[in-house]
Amino acid sequence: MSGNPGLDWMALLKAGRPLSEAGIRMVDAHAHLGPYFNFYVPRPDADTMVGMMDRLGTQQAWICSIPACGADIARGNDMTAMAVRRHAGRLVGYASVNPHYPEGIRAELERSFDELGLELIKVHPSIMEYSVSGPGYEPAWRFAAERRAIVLSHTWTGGSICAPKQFEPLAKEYPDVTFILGHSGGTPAGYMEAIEAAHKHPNIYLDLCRSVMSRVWVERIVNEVGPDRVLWGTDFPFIDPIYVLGRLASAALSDEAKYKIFAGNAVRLRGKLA
Amino acid sequence: MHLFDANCAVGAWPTDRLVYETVDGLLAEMDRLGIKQALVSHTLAQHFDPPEGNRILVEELAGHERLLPCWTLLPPSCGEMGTVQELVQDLARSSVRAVRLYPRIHSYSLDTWQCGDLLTALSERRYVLLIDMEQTDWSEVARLCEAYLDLSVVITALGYRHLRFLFGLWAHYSNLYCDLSNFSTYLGVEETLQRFNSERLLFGTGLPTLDGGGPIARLFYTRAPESDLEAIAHGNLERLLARVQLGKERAHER
Repeated sequence: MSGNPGLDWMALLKAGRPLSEAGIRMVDAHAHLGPYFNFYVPRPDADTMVGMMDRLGTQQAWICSIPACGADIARGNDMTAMAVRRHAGRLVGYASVNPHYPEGIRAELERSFDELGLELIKVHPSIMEYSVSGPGYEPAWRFAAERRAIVLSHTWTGGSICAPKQFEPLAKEYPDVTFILGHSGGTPAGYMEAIEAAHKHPNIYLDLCRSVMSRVWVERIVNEVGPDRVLWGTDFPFIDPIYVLGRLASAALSDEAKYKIFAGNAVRLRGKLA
Repeated sequence: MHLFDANCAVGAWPTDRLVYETVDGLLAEMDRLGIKQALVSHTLAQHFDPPEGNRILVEELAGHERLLPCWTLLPPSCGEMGTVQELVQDLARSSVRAVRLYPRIHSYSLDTWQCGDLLTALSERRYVLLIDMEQTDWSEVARLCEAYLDLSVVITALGYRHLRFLFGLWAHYSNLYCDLSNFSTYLGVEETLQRFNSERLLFGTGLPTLDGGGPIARLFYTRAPESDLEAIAHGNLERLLARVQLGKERAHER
């Protein structure tokens, strides 16, 4: 555990200083890198990102470059790896896969893990317009099981692309894989679905990565799933990380719970990979 | 630092649990977060009936000097809020200096043929007009800013996908503002300060459906001169509200 008991979190936020100065560790388990065609993102490069991490006190961010989320998987994995090499220790890389070419997934993951130094797996079924339940992702699940890897997926309730409940059979079939449900399903109905999935499967974790979310749901997710199964993720630089920081820091949760979510759980999960 | 929330509400909500519903709940949340003042709407004016919601708002805010009423208006087409003249008199009588419009969910157009008289009257009195981003579009916002130059148009709950539109409009119109409740483009605040100035932004939370801690962190983690942070925290909203001219209607109170 890091930090001191009984912290005045509002005072910390209003000081605007890196939370690391108060002994708080932070690992952003859901981050990206690079521009996106759909809207303007100022300075989404790795150096500026690390500057933002310094401003907030974030020790480490787990990143998947934007092209690796869909536009060009291999180019994107290379881009992620380049940033990870440049900021070793501060940035940790997710490798991504293309379910439309399942025959190439193992080779791309082996290249990403063994040559590029990436160590986590990210999938974005929504951008790829391919169901996480489909056979195109199976080579990724098998690889993840062999490496006992962490898999972060974009999740959103409704439909049959990446709803939280779709991860239940995967979590059951691949108990050695840690599945992080990014955005926890994305809506109140999705949060409930994600909570239910996490209740049933100990290898399902939820993240608090949302552009908007009331503290009612931050507190409910943490209280229902338990603080050991929730991760802090911000989506930055796709979205401003400061909102997610302020939302968790100001929530009516114990210091102990916040320490676990801000960093403890991520450090523990990644530690299992070594 | 004095925080003045430009964007919050009281009342129940149909689709989610809330941090609070009542005025006492709002005040407790403001105290917890260290927010001194707030511009407050009523959810009943959004999801039940604007005239009745506004009436209840005035009743519930009575005696609470930290809370200023923000009414939700309708166009005069069906007479639900009286004539435009009667409406501006009602606004003045209740000391309302800021109003909200929900053209999408309340099913009307902001075009001149429907809202021209209302918006002209509001602009003549220099009102503050708040509109959630999901209740409008950028062409509509551009027409508002162009046609009603004395109206202060505040886009609330912007989202993170809009800077191309917003910066395009800000280059042309100085009567357009955004609140911080969901100004969530990465480095969006910094970019705004660099390209424009701190007068464009207002502190707002979106409580109780959104969250207060995020916008507070967003404000205080901005690396900018103290004067800019003060302007965003409270100064800009105070300035806009002070511009509103209630005097004419007050002189004709019944």
